[in-house]
Amino acid sequence: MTPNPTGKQKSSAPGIALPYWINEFYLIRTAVLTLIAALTVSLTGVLISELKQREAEENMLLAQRQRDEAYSRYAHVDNEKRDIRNFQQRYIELLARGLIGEEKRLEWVDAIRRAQEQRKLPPLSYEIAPQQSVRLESSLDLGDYQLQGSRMRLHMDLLHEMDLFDFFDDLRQRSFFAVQDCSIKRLGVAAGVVGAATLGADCTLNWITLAEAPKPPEVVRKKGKS
Amino acid sequence: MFNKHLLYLTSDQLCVYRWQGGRLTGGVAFGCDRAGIDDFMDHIDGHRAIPVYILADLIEEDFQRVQVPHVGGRAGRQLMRRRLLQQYRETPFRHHEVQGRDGAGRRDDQVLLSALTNPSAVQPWVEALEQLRIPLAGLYSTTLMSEELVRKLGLRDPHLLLVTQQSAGWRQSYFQHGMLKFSRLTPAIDRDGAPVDIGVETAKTQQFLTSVRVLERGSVLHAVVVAPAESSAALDAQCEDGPETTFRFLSLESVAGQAGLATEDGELAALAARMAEPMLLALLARTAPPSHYSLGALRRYYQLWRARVNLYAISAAMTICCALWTGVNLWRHHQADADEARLKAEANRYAQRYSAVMAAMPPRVTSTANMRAAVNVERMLATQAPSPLNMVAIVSEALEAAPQIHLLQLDWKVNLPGGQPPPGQDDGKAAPISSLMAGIPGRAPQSLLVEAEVMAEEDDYRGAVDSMNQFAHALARHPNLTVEIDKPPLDTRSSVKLSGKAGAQAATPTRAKFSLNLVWKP
Repeated sequence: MTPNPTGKQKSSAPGIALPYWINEFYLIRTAVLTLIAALTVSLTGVLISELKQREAEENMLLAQRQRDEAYSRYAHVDNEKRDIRNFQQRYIELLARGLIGEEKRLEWVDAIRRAQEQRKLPPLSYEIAPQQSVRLESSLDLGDYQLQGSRMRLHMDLLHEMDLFDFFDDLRQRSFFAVQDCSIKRLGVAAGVVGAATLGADCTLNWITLAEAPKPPEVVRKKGKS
Repeated sequence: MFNKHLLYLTSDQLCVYRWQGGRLTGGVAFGCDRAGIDDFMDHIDGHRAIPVYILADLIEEDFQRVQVPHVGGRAGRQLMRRRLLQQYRETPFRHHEVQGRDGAGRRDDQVLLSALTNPSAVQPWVEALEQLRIPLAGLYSTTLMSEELVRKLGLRDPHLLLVTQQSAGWRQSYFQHGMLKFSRLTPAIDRDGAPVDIGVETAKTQQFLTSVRVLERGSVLHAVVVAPAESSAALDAQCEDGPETTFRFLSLESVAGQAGLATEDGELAALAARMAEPMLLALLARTAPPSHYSLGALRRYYQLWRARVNLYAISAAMTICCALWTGVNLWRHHQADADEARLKAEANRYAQRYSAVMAAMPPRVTSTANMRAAVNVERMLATQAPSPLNMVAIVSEALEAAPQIHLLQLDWKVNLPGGQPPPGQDDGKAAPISSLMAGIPGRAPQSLLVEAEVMAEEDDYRGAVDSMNQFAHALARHPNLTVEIDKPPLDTRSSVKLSGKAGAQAATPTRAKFSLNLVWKP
């Protein structure tokens, strides 16, 4: 059995005919190029004008906010003047007394030492914990500040219970704190010992300050030009 | 762009018409020889961008009614293609039209097959167009166009014979319920040179239709003759109604008006008054149906032309839309710029007024909100911060009325609503500080555990209990203060053990210890 019974040479396979629109693409070439050019120019125009328009609207909104702020400041200028008159002097005093800003632990320690010396109190001991934020139990307008607190454990011996409250009063003259708990117990002192402490007190105090609140991360607005 | 070239092809000539702005013009005729074709090419060469529609009115047009199994989709199309090829092997210009289905049996499709059986009458013209690369939109037949005409005229007779006079002769087309079934073209002049009798020709056609059983015996054939109004009298004499035949005459002018024919005065208008082809050409130009006869690759320049037109149209539409969009954006940009400038001017004006008012004030150290906040916090701390002094003072006042009671220990603390860690606990983890511990925003409840002893006479427990009760009552008189006995001097509950001494050995004073729990709520 011969592989090619006809005995003829196998003709080469005919090539695949291209679609007519490829062969005669030149007839629509100009139209296609026109479409591409129109597409490019039109979309570029739309894109650029859209960007420009958005940028202009963002600038307009920014100007609107600035205008509203300026108007609000001007509208409330009487209130502001009154607030400055009412609060500024007091604020400066509080700033000096250490309510606002960084903790002044050195001044606290100094105040404790001075009160102990002036009241002639028996030796006392204290321990101040690291500063932490105070948890607000309800919403409160604190401006740009947040409340910070440092807890202090205090142990002191007393000749009389009023020594404790006088000691607190002395501290309050120079700083700001609140007492959290206090335990006063009578010490067993042998009769006839003059000048010996009769009471022992263990107290917990919280030193309060107002510190600058960390600012929220600023949203950087991208602009086309600086 | 909406102009068309309409070519009316008969056996001996080709007439070129132009459809422009809804009007038919032209009518140049070219003979079916080499010279005529060359002249035609010269004539049309300058208008390569205008698509061409060929309307053929040839005697060599065959119609066959066949039944084909009802097959859908691609298989159905292939079946029909094979059937057409089998029927008309020698011509490429074939057409089929499914006209309905049988009512019984296999419910085969009833198909009308037709073809231009003499392709050499068409091909020279088509090839000339192809050579010039002129877009050929379609090849149409006057017979198949008459279907459109019947629909346009609203002729709904069940057996209708439409008779029209064209350059090639009288065309008689038979319609059954609006579907074309048969057509024949007879010369307008017989062999003797006399005009043919339409009545006789109609009778011949009816006889043929009856013989091939297309028209049943007893059915009435309604012949509608479209002819010029002036010749209606002569035709009326030829056409007499019979038991199975009725004649109706429609004037060519009114039919041309319904078909939308508009021409300028001249030869074409004269032709339109005599013959039906200008009317059929107008109908073709206005309806532009799909090509009646398949053209295959001959139609490619039309498809390319349509693609080109669509591309230009899309480009133009898109450019206009985008230009409008861009214009709106630019207008809004301009508006926003103007608004921004106005708002900035207003802001500057308010800032200047503010500065003028504030000029008399000392410089501000911080914002008023900050000042107010700091002063408020300080006030709350000063007035509301908890302190053991108040509760200790109450206890001290009550003790003055009870000298027999001797204090041992005081445990004071702030009671937070959510509880708090016990004092002195320090497990390395700092307990959170609540703002209530600083009196912010209000006073917090406080509690005081008082441990004391009563210096009772000998074993006088009753006296000790009474002293404690008096002391507790004195404390409880204070508003907002609740007193609870934590541990009495003598536990008299039945559930616990009670031990004590009585008699001479108990002569020494008894120190009866007790504790009270005081809670103060704001």
